[in-house]
Amino acid sequence: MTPTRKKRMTVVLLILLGVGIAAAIAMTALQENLLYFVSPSDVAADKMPAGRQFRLGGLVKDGSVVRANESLEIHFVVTDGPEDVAVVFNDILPDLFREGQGIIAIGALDTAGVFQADEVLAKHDEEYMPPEVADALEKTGHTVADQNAAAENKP
Amino acid sequence: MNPHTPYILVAYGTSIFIMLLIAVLPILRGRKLRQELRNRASVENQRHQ
Amino acid sequence: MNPVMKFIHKTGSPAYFYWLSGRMIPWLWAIFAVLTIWGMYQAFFVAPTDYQQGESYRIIYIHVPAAWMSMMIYILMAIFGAIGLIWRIRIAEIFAVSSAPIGAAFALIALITGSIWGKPTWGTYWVWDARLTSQLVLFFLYLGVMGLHSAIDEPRKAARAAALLALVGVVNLPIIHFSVDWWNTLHQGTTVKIGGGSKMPNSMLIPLLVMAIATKFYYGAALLTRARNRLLDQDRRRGWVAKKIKEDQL
Repeated sequence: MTPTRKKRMTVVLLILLGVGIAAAIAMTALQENLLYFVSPSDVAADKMPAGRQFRLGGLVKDGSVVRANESLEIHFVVTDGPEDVAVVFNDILPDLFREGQGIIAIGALDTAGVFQADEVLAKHDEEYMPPEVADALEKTGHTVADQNAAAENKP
Repeated sequence: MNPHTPYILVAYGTSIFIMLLIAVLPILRGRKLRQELRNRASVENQRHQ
Repeated sequence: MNPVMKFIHKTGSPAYFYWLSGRMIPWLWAIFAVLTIWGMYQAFFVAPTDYQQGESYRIIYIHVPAAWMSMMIYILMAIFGAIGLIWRIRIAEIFAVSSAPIGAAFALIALITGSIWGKPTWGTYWVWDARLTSQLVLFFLYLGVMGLHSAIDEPRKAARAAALLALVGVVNLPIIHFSVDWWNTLHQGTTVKIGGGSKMPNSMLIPLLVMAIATKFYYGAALLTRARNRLLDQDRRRGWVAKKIKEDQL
């Protein structure tokens, strides 16, 4: 390689390196803001102040969904395992909303520590399968999550 | 009709439109450019004769 | 001269490249068409419904290949740009510049189809999570490369400036790919993994991979078509073009 080409190659590599470092620093600094949602454990640890808007993410706890008779109002609990947060929502839910589903609720805690959601989004997982397979898994007593865990534990 | 059908149709319709646009425009442009170059060459030829 | 450089220089000869690409383009379009027809048939009539999302998941067969292509084309554009910057090979510069609109189209398709898919599944068309935002940045990077290139009149200087911007933007690619692992995002994690362990049965996966291969042939055909035009435009007063016209080979 001629000296000029070597020099140009060095310049190209330096550009890549410089921009890479700059981006890494910027991302570390912005880490908190890039988090799209906070988990119930974060809520328990941080004690998000009442009235401050944030996004709460987690699974809808099994058996926690209570619908009101005469209105759209729905109560449910969002959990990440160790911690729970009670949520109230008063609008139309996405199709994928169900117990055990990952969701993101946008809203704020009230003074009683209940999360008042203005919007609820369903977060679907990276798992795709035909309904028959999901049913079969269900019947044998395995959930999709179990199968995931099994797949991940494979050596 | 499945409630998701309109979403699927709009998604595929838009995608096909964009892909056709990106494929066809340069073909037309190339055709025009070649025609232009051929015409210029034949005009220059006549001038030489 | 080593054989690799010899090959590059030979294909870099404008007349030879013009002839070779002209022969290749119809084949690339034909393979793209066959793969797409087969892939779409499989995607709509053979692949089963998803247990959770129902029919709407079928948008995956355009969304995911387009998203992959938008990233792959960006990497190739940056590599062509770097080759152009270091070795000043004109055909590499032309390839880099010609890749930008195709990549931008795929980035836009990924954004639009993802948005349309988001409504029935997530309950919203758009959120500012890390995956969606970084993909939007990719689209704007493509627009930036195209804009910068068209702002400079002298074609080779324009190509070098565009290549520099393309190189700077490469930093966005790992961010897009790993955003779903690094941050809590609304967008789900990676389904298809190279080297096995994909979280999808083969009946759903195979049409997806066929579509992913089909879009590569689309890129090849569209890129060569654009590169030929650009080459012809730049070389309109050069000898090889006059010779091709005389031989009626243009």
